[in-house]
Amino acid sequence: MQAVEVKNLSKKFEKKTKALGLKASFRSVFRKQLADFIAVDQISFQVAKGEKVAFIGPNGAGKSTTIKMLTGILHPDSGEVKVTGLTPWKERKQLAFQIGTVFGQKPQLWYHLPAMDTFYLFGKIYEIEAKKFKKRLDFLIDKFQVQDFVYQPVRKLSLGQRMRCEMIASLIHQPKILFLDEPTIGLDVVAKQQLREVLNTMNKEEGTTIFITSHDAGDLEKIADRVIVIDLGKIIFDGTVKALKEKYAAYKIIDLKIINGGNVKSKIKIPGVRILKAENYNWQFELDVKKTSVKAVLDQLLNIYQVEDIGIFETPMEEIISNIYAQNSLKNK
Amino acid sequence: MHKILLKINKYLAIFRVSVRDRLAYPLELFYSNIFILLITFVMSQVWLVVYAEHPEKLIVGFSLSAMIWYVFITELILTSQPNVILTIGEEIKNGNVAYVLSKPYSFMSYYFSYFLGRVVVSMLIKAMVGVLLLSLFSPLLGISLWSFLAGASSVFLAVVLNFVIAGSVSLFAFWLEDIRSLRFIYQKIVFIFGGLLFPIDVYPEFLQKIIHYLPFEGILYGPAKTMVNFDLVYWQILVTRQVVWIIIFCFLIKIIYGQGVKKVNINGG
Amino acid sequence: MDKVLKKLISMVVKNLDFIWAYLKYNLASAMEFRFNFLSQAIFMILNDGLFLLIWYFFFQYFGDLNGFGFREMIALWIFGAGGFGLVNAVFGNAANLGTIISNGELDFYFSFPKNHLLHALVSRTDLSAWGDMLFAPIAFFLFFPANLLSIFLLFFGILSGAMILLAFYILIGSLSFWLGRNEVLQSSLFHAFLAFSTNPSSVFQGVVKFIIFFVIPAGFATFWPADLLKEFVLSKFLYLILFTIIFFLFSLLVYYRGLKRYSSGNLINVRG
Repeated sequence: MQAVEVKNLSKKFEKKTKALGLKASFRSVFRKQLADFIAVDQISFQVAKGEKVAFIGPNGAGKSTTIKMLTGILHPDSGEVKVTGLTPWKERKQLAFQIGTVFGQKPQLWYHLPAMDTFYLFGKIYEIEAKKFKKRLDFLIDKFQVQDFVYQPVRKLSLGQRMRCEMIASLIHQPKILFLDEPTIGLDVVAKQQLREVLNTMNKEEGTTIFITSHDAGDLEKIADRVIVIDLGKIIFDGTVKALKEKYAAYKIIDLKIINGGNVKSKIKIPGVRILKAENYNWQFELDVKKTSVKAVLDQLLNIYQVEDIGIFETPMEEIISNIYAQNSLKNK
Repeated sequence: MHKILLKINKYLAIFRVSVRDRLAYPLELFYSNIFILLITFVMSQVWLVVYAEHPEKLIVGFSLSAMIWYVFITELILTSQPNVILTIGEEIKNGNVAYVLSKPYSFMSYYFSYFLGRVVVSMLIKAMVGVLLLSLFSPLLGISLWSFLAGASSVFLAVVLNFVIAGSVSLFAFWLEDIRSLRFIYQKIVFIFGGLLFPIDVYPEFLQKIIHYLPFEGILYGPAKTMVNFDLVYWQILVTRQVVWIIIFCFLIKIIYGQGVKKVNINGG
Repeated sequence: MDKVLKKLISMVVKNLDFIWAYLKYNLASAMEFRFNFLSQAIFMILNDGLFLLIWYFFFQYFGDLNGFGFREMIALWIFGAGGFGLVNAVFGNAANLGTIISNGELDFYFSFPKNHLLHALVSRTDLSAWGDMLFAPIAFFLFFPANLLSIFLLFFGILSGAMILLAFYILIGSLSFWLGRNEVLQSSLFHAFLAFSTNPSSVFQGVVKFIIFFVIPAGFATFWPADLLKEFVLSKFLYLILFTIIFFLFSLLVYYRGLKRYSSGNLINVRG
């Protein structure tokens, strides 16, 4: 049984359109003017148990709509969904025991009380037996290193500390899948790192399937095994992070610090190489990996110039992602 | 059987945490006494003048002392109420109601336990302070253990009744753009038809007749009268009425909520 | 002397201009959701009317209280609702001043060339307050004779009541400078003001009467304008103007005292 199975899932919304003006306001009270908006268009994908999947896409792409259908919040118009073998909107209460959710914008912890109170509450809500609960809680508190502040009111905690407690709350009942919606939003670098470590640990030690939507490229690189890219309601990529880079990140960047200069343009004639920057001693080249190789380019450069320092970079993930979106919207124009 | 126990435990836990939450800022609780004591004081001054101008010691069956306690108790019930309409309306408007769908508890039951926790703390604190002060200045006579228990039970039912009525109203947030105005109107309806500040016996006959068919009497007038002017026959009718209305509104909530959730399921809310 | 006067006048005019500009802006934003705005205002008028209905039944049964009857109650509400509405419509943040201070949001307003307190107060409008504001003239024209004097007193009373309430808001908001977060205390004090200003004035004697006039000045905000409407007495009119101005200046004094404390960094826990 797969953790998540989605087949031909579709969902459209009727969006209210309203013209400006007082007359139109009154009219809109009585007769709603609606326009169809297709949020999710026949998408299919699967997630295996223990996989870590990043679900990314530009705003309005259909990400949250999809997650809402996976967690039983929305009914689809057509298609099939099975999460841990259950149909979300039909077997919601059963599913609730199997999944955990962390929504970055919506905290679960009670603000004025210590996180510990929320943990006890969740223990009761998820009907966990007392002894089992204590063991589980101790384990999680130790794993996430929150002993020092778990008895302080949540409002006194830093964002990173709060996030760790949120994670504990969502893992108390040992869910088979964890759905996270923009969990790293607003976190500083250290907090993000801690969160990612924690997610990877839970996945490794308990086999928790992780399904995360994010705008953060770091989440992609540091957590995900697999990436599903959705745009305009359709899936435009479904594969490993490595495959993503190979498909869309065909460029490498070479930074050179050169001792003796001269006119670069006249001296470099390697196919697939573009000059990005040529200032006195700092030059930057972009090479198309499909057309040439790093070795070939470097050989030529090192022959021509006296190189003091060199750096070779991959296209940053943010750029890769925005390239994907840009390409897709061009295609659809 | 075990299943039911687990379920009750769930909502008991929510109640407990809500109580703790309300106790998190004890100073605020202390300050919240100011308003009710003030209103009771102002109205007591009003009643002093009224009773001075009326040679009869009883007005609509209430002595001066009973009248002042009447004000206190109706205000107690009213001011201890959490803001059901605003809170639930807000949760529906910002979509949190949808997230509850991915959790193993029911939205309305959750809020019921949550509100009950807040009310219990609020009411107990205000009652303790108020009863102490009032007893010093205007002691209430004619109270027995039984009449007190009867009163307490009808107060509890009043709280539940207010929750289910306000709860049903709040669920219209699924369809209405702005629900805040409803909160003021609902409050005023409870004021008028529930008999805040003075017993409904003061109203003209035709209005009293209408009120007897409405549930609001069970929120303020009923429990307050039972506490200060106990009447066994009236109390029995009151409790019956309260329970019946509670059942009716529970059904209403179930239906309205079901419709509303369907809308969320289709439209994302 | 002349120069000082000119400067004063130009300062007042500039500030009035600023208030008016912000009011127009707030109103325009509110009009974006016209239906919502209108419904809130209308419901508030209804809300006020319903409360008066309760008192109608009361006076029907009990008659006057030492000369205070239903008509007197309406007069109190005209100035109570009118003043409250005016303040919260124009200075919509007045009720939130305490929270603004304890959240450290005052700092935001320091960076602008306008008086920061004024700026903070006018940067918001309370939609339902417009309903309260409308309720006053509606109730007035329904129940009171309209002549030059009475209409003048209507506007004057609402204005002075508004000023007193604004000063009161500033006073209780300033408590945050000394007491930190204390929203419940501040709202309790405000509700005390409300309770005193909309209940039969004739029942208050002695110490209480003193408190209602000089501690929580609801008496000056609603009782006196209502009295003046019933029977104009020049001395009362002048005393009211005097009190309003003095009380308002007093509230500013307290505020700026508290501000000094705030700026000197004594309130580390208050900022952020």
